Amino acid sequence: MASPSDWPRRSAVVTGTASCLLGLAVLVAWSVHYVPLIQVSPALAPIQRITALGFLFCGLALILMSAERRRLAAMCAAPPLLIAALTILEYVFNADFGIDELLGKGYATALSPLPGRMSPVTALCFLLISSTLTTVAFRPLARYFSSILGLVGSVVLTVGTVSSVTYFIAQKDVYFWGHIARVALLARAGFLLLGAGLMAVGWKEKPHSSLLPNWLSLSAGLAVAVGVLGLWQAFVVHEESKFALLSWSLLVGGFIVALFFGLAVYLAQTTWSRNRQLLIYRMAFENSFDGFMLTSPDGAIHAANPSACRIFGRTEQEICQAGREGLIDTSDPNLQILMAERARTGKAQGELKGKRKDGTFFPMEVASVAFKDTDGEIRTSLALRDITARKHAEAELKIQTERLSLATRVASIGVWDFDVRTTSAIWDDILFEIYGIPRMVAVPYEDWARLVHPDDLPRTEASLQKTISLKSQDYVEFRIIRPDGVVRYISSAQGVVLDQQGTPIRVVGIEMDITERKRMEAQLAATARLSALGMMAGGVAHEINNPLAIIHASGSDLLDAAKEEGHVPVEVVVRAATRIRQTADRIARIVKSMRRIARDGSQDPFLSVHVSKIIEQTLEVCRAKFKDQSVTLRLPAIDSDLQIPCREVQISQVLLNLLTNALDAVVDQPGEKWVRMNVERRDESIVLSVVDSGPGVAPELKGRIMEPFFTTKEVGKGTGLGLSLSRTIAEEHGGKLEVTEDHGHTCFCLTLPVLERRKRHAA
Amino acid sequence: MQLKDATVLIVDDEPVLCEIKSTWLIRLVPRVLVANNGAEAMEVLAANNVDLVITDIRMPVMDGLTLLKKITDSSKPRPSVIFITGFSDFEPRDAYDLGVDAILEKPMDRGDLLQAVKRSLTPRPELWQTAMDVTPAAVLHSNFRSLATALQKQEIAFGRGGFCIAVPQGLQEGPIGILLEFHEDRSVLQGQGIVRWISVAEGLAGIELLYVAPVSREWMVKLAERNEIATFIPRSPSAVECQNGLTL
Repeated sequence: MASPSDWPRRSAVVTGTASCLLGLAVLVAWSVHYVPLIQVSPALAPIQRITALGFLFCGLALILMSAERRRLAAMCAAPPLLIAALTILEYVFNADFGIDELLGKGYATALSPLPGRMSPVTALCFLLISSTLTTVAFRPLARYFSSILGLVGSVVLTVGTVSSVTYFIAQKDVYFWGHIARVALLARAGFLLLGAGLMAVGWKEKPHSSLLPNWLSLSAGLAVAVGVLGLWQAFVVHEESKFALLSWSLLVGGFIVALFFGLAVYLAQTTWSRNRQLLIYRMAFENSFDGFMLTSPDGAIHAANPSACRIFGRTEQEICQAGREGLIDTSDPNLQILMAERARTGKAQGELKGKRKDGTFFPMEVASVAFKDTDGEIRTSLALRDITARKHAEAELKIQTERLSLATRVASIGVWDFDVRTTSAIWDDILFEIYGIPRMVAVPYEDWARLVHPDDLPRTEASLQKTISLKSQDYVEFRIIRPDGVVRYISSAQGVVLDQQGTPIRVVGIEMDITERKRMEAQLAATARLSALGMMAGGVAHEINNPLAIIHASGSDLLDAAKEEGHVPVEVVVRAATRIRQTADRIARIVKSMRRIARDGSQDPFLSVHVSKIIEQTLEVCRAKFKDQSVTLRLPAIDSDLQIPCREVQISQVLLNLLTNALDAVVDQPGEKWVRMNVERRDESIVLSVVDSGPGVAPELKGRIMEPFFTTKEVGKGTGLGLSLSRTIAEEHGGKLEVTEDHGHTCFCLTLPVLERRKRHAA
Repeated sequence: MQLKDATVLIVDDEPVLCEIKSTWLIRLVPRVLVANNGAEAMEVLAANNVDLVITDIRMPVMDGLTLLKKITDSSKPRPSVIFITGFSDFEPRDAYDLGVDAILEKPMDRGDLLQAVKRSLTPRPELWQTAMDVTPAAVLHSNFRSLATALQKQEIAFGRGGFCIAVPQGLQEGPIGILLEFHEDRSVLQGQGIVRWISVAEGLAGIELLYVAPVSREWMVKLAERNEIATFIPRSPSAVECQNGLTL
């Protein structure tokens, strides 16, 4: 607050406070009858209580004014205004309204004939002061506040000063006529204070743009006039009877001096203000960050500020010598365009190339204006700024934008920018292509929601809501139905944009058409199943080969017997035929199991199936493989009543996958090779586990073995989808597939609920 | 050793197949033994003098390949081995190198099995006296400076039943006429055989000899009777050592 320009406010506070203290002191003196303060000397008029009250209120009003509490100030000024007005009326009509001794008995002297009544000059001064302070409460008069306060202040100040000074120099009273009461000495001092205070407030109220208040000259003249009047009365009027003409001439002469004084002040003020203004403009010119030059339309340069010198790397003199030709790349076509525009419209702005002293060029932004100077001559100015850094940044940004846009275009990534308040989004061209709709400026949320597959909409909307409410980012996959009816799979990744208060205002996201990928994933899943089947087929081929050998051999025996001996004994036929039929049945059973397990099965209904049956049928197609690889398969005794609701084929596939993996894990292992299956009922679940004697899964791989495409098998032996698909199947059944350890051996546990609580399969 | 007093061991995990093979063989040889896997077979071999083992490859407990290795490693006089396979889980080239006399595919034909048994149990001089019924259309004709240099340069290597040789492209599996000339030795190996395997990448072929012309028979027989050679057809010339002493 304590800035150098704060002095008017502080002065007002100081004078206001002093005025208050004066009023209070007098009132106290009255109540304790301390005469020296009431009547400083017997030759002077006493200060009345009502006057003291006036100083108290007016002082308060001044303090309030300086604190910008105008309405309160006006209220404080109202009582003195009323008192002063009534006192003047009392004098005018020679009446007594009973206000003089309102605060108690007055004190009459020769110089103050009416006890308790203030002098008319005092009343007049209070009238001026308090009416002025009341006026400031009226907004419509705001533009006159400064002048009113200043002028009234100067008059009151002069009255106070002249009357005080006159007394101290010549012990004379001023401003009285005939026998009317004189102004008390303390009241004179009080008016000095209030006058100064009013002027200070007036100064404070002056428009910010002007350096000095515009009322200064008028108030100076007025003050001199009032002062002349007082002095004339004090020193000249006594001689009035002898040299009446001289006396009046002096007064008039004094007024004329006042007039000239006011005029002189006006001129001085105007000149000072202008010089001061020029100085400030000059400083602004010198200190401007932008380069600034005064030029002529012909290209001559008259002045350049230090920034211009810095930008061009030349002194002002060198700039003026170089002229336009030496400073600006004249081959730049922009120059002609800008000059033509300035000639036509009087102003122009754009970019040009500046030339430094060392001959290098730099990009600069210029603004030039043509104007007429006071002599009517056309001049021009040129503001300029070195934009090398900005150009670099712009170029960098352009490269980045190009790179990003190329990347998104090449990758067919669509970009959207959703405004949380308007709930509409801006899309890029690729996104419109993905959705197959015509371009529009902003896509309303509802329009987009209509394109999303109804089954996927809740999930997708939840993802957007989550992104906004958690102020984070999210990823979602969903389907859209294009206007032409084509269904596409979309993956969307989005993140929120916050404003400075941390409120989400936008969500920006990218979308990709992943239909092709989805199709390939489905194909891969099918491939993985076929691959598992291929592995299984190895075992089955052998399993079928043996029975085939039996059938073949039995048939050959019959044939050979028939050929060589002409007839075949019945018992030989029966034995061979029985053998053939039994063996054929065996093959049929294997083929049936294989065909069953090779089915997709993912759309089968959930049915309650005996666990023992699932295991038996699964083993049918892989038992041979275990036997061939000399791996012992340990099976538990299974509770024949145990049932689970499931897609039988899928569970068989999972078990087959686990058994095949276990077999692969132990096959190259030295020593005893075994794979163990356990069936266990745990609460509401059944846990089917497969344990192998193999070396176990390395800890660093445990987290990854269920990932799609992760495999430790050599190339061509596994697609890496087996466990990942198995886990998906387990989850679709409301269960889970985990890898744990059992006495140091790897254990894959398939947990399935006894009661149906499978997940809805999301498309 | 003759067919009429030979002992044959049949190894198969399928009891019905063991039974069938036994009935076939019992007409040919006096003694047929049966085992259900490699481990059982080893026990039988320890207790009996067996001349020929006919074994399945894939079996629980001990498979055919392990059995073959154990037989080769054992100190007893080595019986011949015939593989019966339903599944290609080994390279025939490796099996012949390990000393298998014949490989039959399931479902095997009775005639094929009996012929393989006969051939395996017939001594080489006798076996190589009879030319094939049909003279092979293709002839493998190779020229060498001498047998010694050919062996040294690893252009050829011999096993009990045949040889491995660098061959021109275009050779096919099946019957083939053989004419190998060794110029400095002024000698030839003339006969008939069957190309058992071809490695196009290495430019090699494994050929089983079925007939050897009288002119070369003597040294081929000498070679075949060298007991230390377990290999039936070497898998490559470089895999065979100590043949440098061979002369014509």
